[in-house]
Amino acid sequence: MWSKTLIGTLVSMLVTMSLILNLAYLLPVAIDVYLFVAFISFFLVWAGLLSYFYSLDKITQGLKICVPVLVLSAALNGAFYTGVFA
Amino acid sequence: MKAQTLRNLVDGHGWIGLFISIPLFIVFWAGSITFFQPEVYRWASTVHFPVAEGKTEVKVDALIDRKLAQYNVDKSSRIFITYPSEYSPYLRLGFYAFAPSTDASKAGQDKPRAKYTALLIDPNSGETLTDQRPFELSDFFYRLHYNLKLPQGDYVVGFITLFFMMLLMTGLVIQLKNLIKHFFLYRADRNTRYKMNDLHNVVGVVTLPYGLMFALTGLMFNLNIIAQLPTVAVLYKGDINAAFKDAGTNRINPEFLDKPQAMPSLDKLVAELEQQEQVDITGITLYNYGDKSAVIRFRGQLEHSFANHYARYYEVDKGQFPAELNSADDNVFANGTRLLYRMHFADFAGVDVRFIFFILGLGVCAMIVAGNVLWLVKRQKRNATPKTISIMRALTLGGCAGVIPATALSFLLERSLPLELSMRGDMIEYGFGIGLFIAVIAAFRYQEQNSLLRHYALSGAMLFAITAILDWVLFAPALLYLIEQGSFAALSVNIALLLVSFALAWFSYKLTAKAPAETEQEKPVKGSELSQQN
Repeated sequence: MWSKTLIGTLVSMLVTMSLILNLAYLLPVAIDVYLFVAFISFFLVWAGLLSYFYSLDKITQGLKICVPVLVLSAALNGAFYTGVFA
Repeated sequence: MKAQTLRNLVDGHGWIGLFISIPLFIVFWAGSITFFQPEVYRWASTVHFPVAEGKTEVKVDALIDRKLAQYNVDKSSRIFITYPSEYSPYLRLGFYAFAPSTDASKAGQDKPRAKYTALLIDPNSGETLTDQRPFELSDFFYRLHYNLKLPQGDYVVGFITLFFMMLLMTGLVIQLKNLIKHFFLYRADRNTRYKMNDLHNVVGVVTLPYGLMFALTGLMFNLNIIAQLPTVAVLYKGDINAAFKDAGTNRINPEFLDKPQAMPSLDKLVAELEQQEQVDITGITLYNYGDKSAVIRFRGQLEHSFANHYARYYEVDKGQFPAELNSADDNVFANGTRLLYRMHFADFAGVDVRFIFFILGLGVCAMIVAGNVLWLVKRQKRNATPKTISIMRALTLGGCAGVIPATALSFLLERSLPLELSMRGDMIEYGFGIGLFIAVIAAFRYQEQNSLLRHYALSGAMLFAITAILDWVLFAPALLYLIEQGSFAALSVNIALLLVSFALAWFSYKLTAKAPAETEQEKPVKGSELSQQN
C-alpha cells in the first residue's frame, strides 16, 4: 500500500501535468478558458489516476500503462515546445 | 467490475481513510465552525466594543494621516483599509510599522523588520479601540481549517484533501451498484458493524456533491502551485506576472522612489466609483503611501452580481485609472475560480444556506468517525493486533470526539480572558491544543468507550454553558445595547452555545441510560454483501 501511495501519487501527478499541458497545445480555446479548464481538470485527473493505482493488484501494472502514456505525452509537449509542431 | 478490483479499492479506501481520518476530521470540524466566522468574530468583539452601525458615513481622509502619524509606519509597504461590513462593524486599518526608535531610512540588509499592526477603529468617532488584535478565535478556526496550524500546513492539508478526493472517487465506485437501491438504507436493528457501514454509506452518498465541491475547491486553494507549475514553467517560460495577467489578476509592486507626493481624497474617489460603476467598495489598499510612486487599489463587490468582484488601480502621480493595470472583468479563469471559491465559503447567501453547509460539514465528520469505527469492528473480528486496535480506538475517540471539549474551552477562553493580556490570541489557540491533547491522553488511558464519550459530552456541555452564562454576567449592558441597535450576532451565538450545551448534556444523559455493551453476535458476511459492507 505504501508503494501505491508514494509512487502512485508521484507518477499520477507527472502524468496529469503532462496531459494538461497537451491540452494547452491541442485545445483551440482562449488562454483564460484553458487556464480554468486546466486548473479544474488537473485535480480531477490526478485524483482519478491515484484511485486507478489503488484498484490494481500491483503498482507495476499501473506503471506499465502510465509510463508509456507519460513518455508519449511528454514527447508531444516537447515537439510543440521546440517548434517541431508549429 | 472484477471482485478483486473491488477488493483492492476497498483496501485502499480503508487504508488511506484511516491514515487521514483525524486531520480530515479536524479540517471539516474547523471548516464547519468557520461558516459562522462573522458571527463568532462579532460575538467575541462587539461586547467589548459595542458600536452603533450605519449611523454615520465612514470617512477615511480625516483619519488616515492622524492614525499613521502615531506609528513609525513603513510607507514602502502596503496599507490596508477595510470598511465596516457583515464580518466586522469596525473600520480596520492595517500597516507595517517599525519600533518607535528605529531609523526606517536604512537600506539593504541593515533595514529593520517592520511588524504588521492592525487597528480597530470606531467608524463613528474615529477612536482607536485596540491595536493588539485580541479577537483571534474565529481566525484561529479558519487557519486550523486550511493549515491545521502546522509548518507548511497548506501543503499538508492540500495532500490530505487530495486523498479525500480519492476516497470520494473510490467510495463512489465501491458503492455504485447500491447507490440507488440502498439509498437511505439504515439497519438500526443490526449490530455496530452494519449500523456504522450504513451510516458511512448513507452520509457519504448524501454529502457526495458537497464533498466533491469542497475537495476540489480545497485543492484549488492549497495545491494551486503544483497545478500551475507546468503551465507557468513551460507555456509562460517562468514569467509569472504574464500568467497572472492572463488569469485576470494584476499583481503590482511599484518601486518606492522616496519623493513626496500629495495624496488624493480617498473618500471622493470611493464616492465617484460607487456612483459611476454600481459597486460597493469594501476596502482600499495603498501602495507606497505619500510617495510619487503611490498606487491605490479599490476593492469591492459589484451590485447584483454573484461572483464578479471588483478591483481598480489608481495611479496617484498620473491621477487616473490606467488601462494597463485594469484588465477586463470578463476573464473566464478569474470569474470561474471566484465562483467556486464563493461556493466553498457559502458567502453567497444568508445564514440559512450557511447552516445547511454547516450540517453537511458535520455530516462528513460523522462519516469519518463511522468509517473508523467500521474499520475497528472489522479488525476486532479478524483478531488484528490489540495494540493497533487500541491506538486507533484512542485516536478516533480522542482526536474526533475530543475536539468538542477543546472547542468549548477555546470559546470559554475567548470570553473570559482580559483584553489587556499579551498573547491573548495565542492563549486561546494553546487552550484548544491542550484540550485536545488531554482528550487524546484520556482516550489512551480509559478503555470504557461510553464512559469516555459521556465525559467528553458533559465537559463540553459545561464549558459551553459557562461561556454562555459569562456572556450575561460580564457583558449584559453591552449585549442589551447591541440588541437595541439591531445587532443580533452576539445574541445568536450566545443562544447557539446554550443549545449546543443542552444537546451535549442530553447526549451524555442518553449514554448514561444506554446498556453498557452491545451483545449481538456478528453475523457471517456474504460475498454479495462485500461492496455494501465497505
